[in-house]
Amino acid sequence: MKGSARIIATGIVVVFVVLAVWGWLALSQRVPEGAEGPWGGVDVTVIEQYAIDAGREAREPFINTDQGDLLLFVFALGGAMGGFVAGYYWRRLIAEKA
Amino acid sequence: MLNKGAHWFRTYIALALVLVVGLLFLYPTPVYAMHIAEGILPANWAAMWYVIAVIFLVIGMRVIRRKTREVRGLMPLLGLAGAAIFLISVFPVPVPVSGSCSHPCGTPLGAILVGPFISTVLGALALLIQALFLAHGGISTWGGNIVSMALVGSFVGFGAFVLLRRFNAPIFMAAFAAGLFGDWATYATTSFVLASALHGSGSLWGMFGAITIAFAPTQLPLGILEGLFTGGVVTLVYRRRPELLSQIIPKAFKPMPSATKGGS
Repeated sequence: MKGSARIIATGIVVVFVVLAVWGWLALSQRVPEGAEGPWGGVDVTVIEQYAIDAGREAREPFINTDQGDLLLFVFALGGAMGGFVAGYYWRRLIAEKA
Repeated sequence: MLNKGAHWFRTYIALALVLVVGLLFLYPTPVYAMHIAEGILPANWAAMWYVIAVIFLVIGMRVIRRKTREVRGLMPLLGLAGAAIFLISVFPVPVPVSGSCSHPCGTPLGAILVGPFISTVLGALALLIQALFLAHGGISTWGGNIVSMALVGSFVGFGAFVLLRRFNAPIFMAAFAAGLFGDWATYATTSFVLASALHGSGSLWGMFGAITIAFAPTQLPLGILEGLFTGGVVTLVYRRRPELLSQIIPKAFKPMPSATKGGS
């Protein structure tokens, strides 16, 4: 009984994955291309585009870091700090106590 | 030794934060960013999503207070889950064939590690940092972004994990489903948040469907990627420190033959 429930549950997930792959390939031609060209984020190509169509535009953020290389800097810094924190706690939790 | 390390860590993180905040305040131009950007939601809708988000944040903070008293060693797990959610949710992943980019959520993983209420709070903090310093999202849209990514991502992911474990699915498969459905549910909710505020005199469900289909070619494969990542991390943590996870969701992490024999 447990074995069949497990197989059915796993099978349902596999069906979803197969449908997702099919949907991905089938819908790929319909990806809207934003002003920034290919590899644009869905934030711009989907969210902002629908907002503009509805008459609303994104506003300037309170602290605007999207200027020159500043955004690159804060992303790199955020990634480094986040990676350091994750690695530090991973070591404390997993590596030291395993 | 550990205390010395923690002191060093706190000192330098605080110094780095002060430097970053100081630098950021020296600058200000229009930006088009990820999640739902500043100003896209009308004030009444933004306020409604804030109310829903705040209810869950208050419950989440109470759960954190209670769990930190009950579960020894929860704080490092909170730190790990928080950092993971922050990193995963700002990581733009290019999707082949579609030729677009998007980011996973990280909150389904967070929900399995620390529970859905705590994961909601951690997701909200990650979104706040992104809105303030990384031009991702916005303060006015923080509530809507919390509901879609932090709240729905956590609860759907957690629900999928617990449900599959009830059906005796292996740890990896249950965590994979959590990542998969948590990610998709997040973007479905983002579509609903947008459609409900912006459909105007048009059909709400028509706009919801259009936005969901526009997300699909990018988010369908990213959901699979998030599922694989979530499954991998949860399996690894479970094999190394099973007691860590069973403190949060005891029933979902009861030993299974497949897991204990390494077959999960």
